[in-house]
Amino acid sequence: MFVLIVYLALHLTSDTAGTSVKWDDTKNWKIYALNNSAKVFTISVDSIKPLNGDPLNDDSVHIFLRSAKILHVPTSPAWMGCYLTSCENRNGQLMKIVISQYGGFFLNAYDGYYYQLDANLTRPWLDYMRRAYIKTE
Amino acid sequence: MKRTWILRLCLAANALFIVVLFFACKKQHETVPANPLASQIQSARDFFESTIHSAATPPNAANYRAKLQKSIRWDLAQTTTLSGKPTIVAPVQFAGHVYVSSDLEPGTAFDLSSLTRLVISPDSENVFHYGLLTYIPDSTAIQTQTFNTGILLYEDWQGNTLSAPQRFARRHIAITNSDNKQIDIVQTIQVCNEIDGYNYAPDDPEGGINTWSETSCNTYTLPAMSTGPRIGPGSLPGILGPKPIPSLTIAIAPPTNPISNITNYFKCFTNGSSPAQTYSVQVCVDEPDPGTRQPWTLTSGGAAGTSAAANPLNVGHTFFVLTENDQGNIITRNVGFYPATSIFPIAGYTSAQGVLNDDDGHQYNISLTINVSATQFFGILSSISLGNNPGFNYDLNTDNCTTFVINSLGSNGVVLPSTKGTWATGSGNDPGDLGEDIGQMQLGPNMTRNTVSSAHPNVGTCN
Repeated sequence: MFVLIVYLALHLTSDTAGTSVKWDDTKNWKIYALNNSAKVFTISVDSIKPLNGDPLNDDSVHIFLRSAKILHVPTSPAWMGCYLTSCENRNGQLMKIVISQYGGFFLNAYDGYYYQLDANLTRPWLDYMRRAYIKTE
Repeated sequence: MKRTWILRLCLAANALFIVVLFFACKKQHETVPANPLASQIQSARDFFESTIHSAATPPNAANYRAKLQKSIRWDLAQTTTLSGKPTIVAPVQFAGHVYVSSDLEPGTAFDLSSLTRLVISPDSENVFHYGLLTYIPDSTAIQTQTFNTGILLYEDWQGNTLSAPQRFARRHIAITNSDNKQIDIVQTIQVCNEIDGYNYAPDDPEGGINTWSETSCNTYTLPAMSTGPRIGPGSLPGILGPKPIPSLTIAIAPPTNPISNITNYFKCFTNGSSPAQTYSVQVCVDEPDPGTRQPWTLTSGGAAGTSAAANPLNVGHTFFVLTENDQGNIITRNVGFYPATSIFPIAGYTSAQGVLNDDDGHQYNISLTINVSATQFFGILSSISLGNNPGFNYDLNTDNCTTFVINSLGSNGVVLPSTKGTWATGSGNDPGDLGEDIGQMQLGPNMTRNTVSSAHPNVGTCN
């Protein structure tokens, strides 16, 4: 049977995530009805707090973010639209997360790092965020 | 003499008949399955299809996987031996593309069909038992490529748990004696499976994704050791005795989204000749700095709350909203051209495979709506459809989203201004220039301009 099990799983690839944030510890994810890039990038965390955001399913977000790796970039990627989201870290601190509308990358304003999702999750991730955003409109 | 010849002819005919009969018999013999393994598989199949598959028992409502359409790949069935008993193992094929991941191996999604097997084995009285076995590798299995560790789920066809999910490690092999039916220790544990995921309805532009969640808790009273030759985790090599396991989270996710198949995405549009059937193309522009020709903006000081190293570079975006109006029956689709992966304004990093995305959640600050003919409209759809083709690249300078819109229209007789901006690492069409060109252009009778962004959802479904 184990030969079979080995056979079953042989096509799978290893891709452990190396992140500075334990995304599974984050909670209270929200998305906001704001995707004007200039406003999204400049809004402060304190200004986010009073906004009424739509909750995202924490578990669903965790599933996507488990694959997130820090994107070591020479400069900012080219942004072509974004979503404003937020979550709380394990200490209850609010983190502003700006999510790109393409490519599966996002900016964690809390630590200043860009993160990149696995390529095979980019499509579902973008679709998930797009539909969540539309509900806020 | 003549009689001798006839006799010889009869002998030759008889010989030929015998030869033909021999080969005929041999051929017939070859077509009859004499393979004992095939016979075992057929017996197992007969048992399963007559007693399990044909039963009208509904699936476990709390088990999402059980509700998915699935079939048995008998053509790929194999035989093996477990605890001295012949066992038939056949792949289970789930309809569509269903992927699962668990917190045992974060970030890795597995094809559910590749992980699930139907296992059938006779007991000592030659009565068949069966179960669906799903193996979910953990991170150690993946990292070491040994696949000796993970979790096994053992369920019936309706998705009811037959035995508690088991964590196991092959290095702790504990093959049980098939005659050992003594229960040493009984323990009661509760296992909760929480499943979160989402499904796509590819042709539903309004709600193509459905999120769902299920939690199923079962209490098991289990022996600490395997109890005998029954198939399932308890008798599989390398499985430890039952013990509490952490809660298991399973995610199910399909690998595609609607617009990955652009033909399906556009299929609701109909090429009609009726004058009452009208078509329009709206070019929506999200200028980096609304009201200016600035080709890009840099948020100086970084995004609020970040270090300066994270200064976001915004290049804006241009996309289409395509609409057909057939006597009040409206079909609308949003589409924009993007790179499939992140790109950078640095030489050598400006290009990537192109990809079409649904932009119905994208903001714009100026748009131009153009009424076009059916021929133009479907020609534009054809031009847009190229955007998903392998090798059709996005390039920040030469083939960006704005270039894509201008070219898709231009090749179908709709000419827009094509002002090119310049930036430190290149030049090309850009949303800033196109937006301002639209704002300043002399509009034709078939054009309208809008400087207020409004919701532009996809509208309309079809079969």
